[in-house]
Amino acid sequence: MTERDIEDDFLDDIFAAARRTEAQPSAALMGRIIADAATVSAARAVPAARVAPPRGLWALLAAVIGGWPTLGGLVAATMAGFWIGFAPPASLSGLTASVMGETVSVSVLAADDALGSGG
Amino acid sequence: MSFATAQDPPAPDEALLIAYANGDAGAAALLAQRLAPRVLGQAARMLGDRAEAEDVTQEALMRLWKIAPDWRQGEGQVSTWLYRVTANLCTDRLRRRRRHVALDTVEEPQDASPPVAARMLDRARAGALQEALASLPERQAQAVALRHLEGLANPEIAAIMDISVEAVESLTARGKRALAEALAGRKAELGYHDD
Repeated sequence: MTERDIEDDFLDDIFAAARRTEAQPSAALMGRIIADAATVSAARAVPAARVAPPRGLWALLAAVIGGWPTLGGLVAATMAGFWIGFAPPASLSGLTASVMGETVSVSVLAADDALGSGG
Repeated sequence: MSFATAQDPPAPDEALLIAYANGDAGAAALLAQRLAPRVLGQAARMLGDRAEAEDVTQEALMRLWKIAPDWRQGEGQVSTWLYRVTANLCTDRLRRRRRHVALDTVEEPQDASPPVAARMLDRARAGALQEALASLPERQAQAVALRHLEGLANPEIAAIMDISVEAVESLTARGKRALAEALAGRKAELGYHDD
């Protein structure tokens, strides 16, 4: 038997002693490992849950033009414009005549009496 | 899809890992049951310390849970990846232990009944081996441990360490020589007599 063989036998014995080390995971260790898996999984799920729900078309439109106060102002201005066009005050008729040169009245109703008050 | 039925062939580790990444908690429990004993055994054989081996097992599996969503199918085996992570974690600890703990902390075998004496001798030899492994270059220690403690074949070790089979053979040969030198002065203490 050579010196190398003796060394190999010696090391093989040492390795065999280490291989006999038995280790079975305890229930506590398994519990910690499975809890880690759940924690990592939950941490991954959170960012997805934080995504805002999709918004409706009108909400999106209101946000684009500056929110509900702006939208309210826009509606009021539109109604005022419509009313001025429908029944212009006398001072506005005079201004129009001076700029355009003549006044044209067009009635969209069958009679001139728009409010149906008769007369 | 359930992986828990006893009649089905066992799902590969990779399939369970992908199922876990997709939110299947049962797949994680099955993977843990399958892999934790192997990782704990490897860590215990390399470290010889139950508490440290448990820490390594928890850490190795924690890394597995974290990389699960990025696991690329067919790119390698989960067990190969875990052998590598565990070997790295163990050599890190052996290194730290070598820096911080006195080397002669192995219990001396004492007079006792034969089975107990044999167990204590085993423990002393395993402890001496772990100390000697700690003194080796990291790659040599890993190759020797995978070959002689885990009993893996050289091609498998090559895959784990991402090197050629020839490099594994060279690392284990040099590692064994270095181990024999490191342990030469402790033969008598470990129950060997030159005669």
